[in-house]
Amino acid sequence: MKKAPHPYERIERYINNDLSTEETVLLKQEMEASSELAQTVRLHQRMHEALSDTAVMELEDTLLRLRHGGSGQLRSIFRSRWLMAASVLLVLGLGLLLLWPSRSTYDYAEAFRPYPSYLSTRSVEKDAADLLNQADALYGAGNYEAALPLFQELATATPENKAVAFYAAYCQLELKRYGTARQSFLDIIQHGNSDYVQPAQWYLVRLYLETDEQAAAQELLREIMESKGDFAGLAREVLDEL
Amino acid sequence: MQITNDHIQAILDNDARGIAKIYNAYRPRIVKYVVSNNGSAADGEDVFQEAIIVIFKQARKEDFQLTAQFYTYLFAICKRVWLKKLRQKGQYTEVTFGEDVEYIDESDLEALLEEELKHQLFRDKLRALGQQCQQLLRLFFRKTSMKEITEIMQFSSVNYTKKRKFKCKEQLTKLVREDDQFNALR
Repeated sequence: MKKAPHPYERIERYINNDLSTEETVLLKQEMEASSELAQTVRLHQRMHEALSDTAVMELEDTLLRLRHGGSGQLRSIFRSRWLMAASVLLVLGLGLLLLWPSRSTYDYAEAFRPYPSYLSTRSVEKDAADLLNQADALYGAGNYEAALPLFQELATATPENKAVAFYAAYCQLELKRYGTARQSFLDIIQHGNSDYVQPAQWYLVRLYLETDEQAAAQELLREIMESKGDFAGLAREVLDEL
Repeated sequence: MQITNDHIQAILDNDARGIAKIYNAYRPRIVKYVVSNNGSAADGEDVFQEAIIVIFKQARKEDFQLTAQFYTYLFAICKRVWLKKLRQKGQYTEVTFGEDVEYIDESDLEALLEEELKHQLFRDKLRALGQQCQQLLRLFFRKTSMKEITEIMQFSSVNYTKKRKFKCKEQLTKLVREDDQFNALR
């Protein structure tokens, strides 16, 4: 027996003008008879209007990043001011700091903040679901040391699963195990064909910056910018700062 | 008015650096005014954010013309947003702003503000969902096909993705309905 469609499905089809004339007439009659249904349909119409405006969502993302990165920015500015004051004293005393580099207030920590977890137990075999949940929880809590061996175990069991490989690589980066992190990110990028290519490129930039490989970082940032992917905007910001 | 055009362009392009300049230059003044008119600093932050979104929605209209300095325009919109929020809270009082504001025609803003406050509620509630629901619904509202969402989210089947989508929508509508603002905006 065919399963009845979810009630929202009909509302979605109505909003998208995908109902037949007869179905539309029927729904409108039902809405006239039931104020609850009419209200639900209106609610869904508003939801679709509000959330389909992806340009506004993206602008709001930018504003929220500025808002919540505020304290980080202030800390950074404070550091700069303190350094300037220190410079003046040192210049007066030693006359050696004429070329003291100006500190940028750009918040690198915000640009390279930990990648959110999008892990799903659907991506692994049933018996590995608990292990994945455990790794995910440790990762979310910032316990990279404990999360890493779990991600590695999952990656060994499912070499095609680039999600767990990426999170293992990210843990290695946080633990400053640069050699293995670099190789893991490169493997994901070279493998291609996964949602983790762009994040792997982005955190490889961070690795290059942390290991003072400016030229490699700039080259990869330009590549990310030209790809016009998810990190293109951030890549432009960071490149401008370098 | 080169600087004015730069600000509008930065908002239209969602240029993070350009928006950061606006944020750093004007936000403190807006927050200060809201705080001195029965609001909190967080209210001020909300008002500033919503005003920038309203400016974006206005500026992307083909017939948009800026007839005042950027800050005058921003300030007028912030004032209207804050008045609206006070009315919603049932706390309407005469709001006085201590700065001279050039008169600009705000009549066409009313409908946009009304719409924006409704939309804001949905966006806020979307952000209150779990990471997975947020990603799924964002992809859905970007018109990504169910098949593609299934691949991106690494779900087992298109049917499962559909089921998850409806569950997420249910959570979202529940959050919206439970919010005090929902009744005020109906």
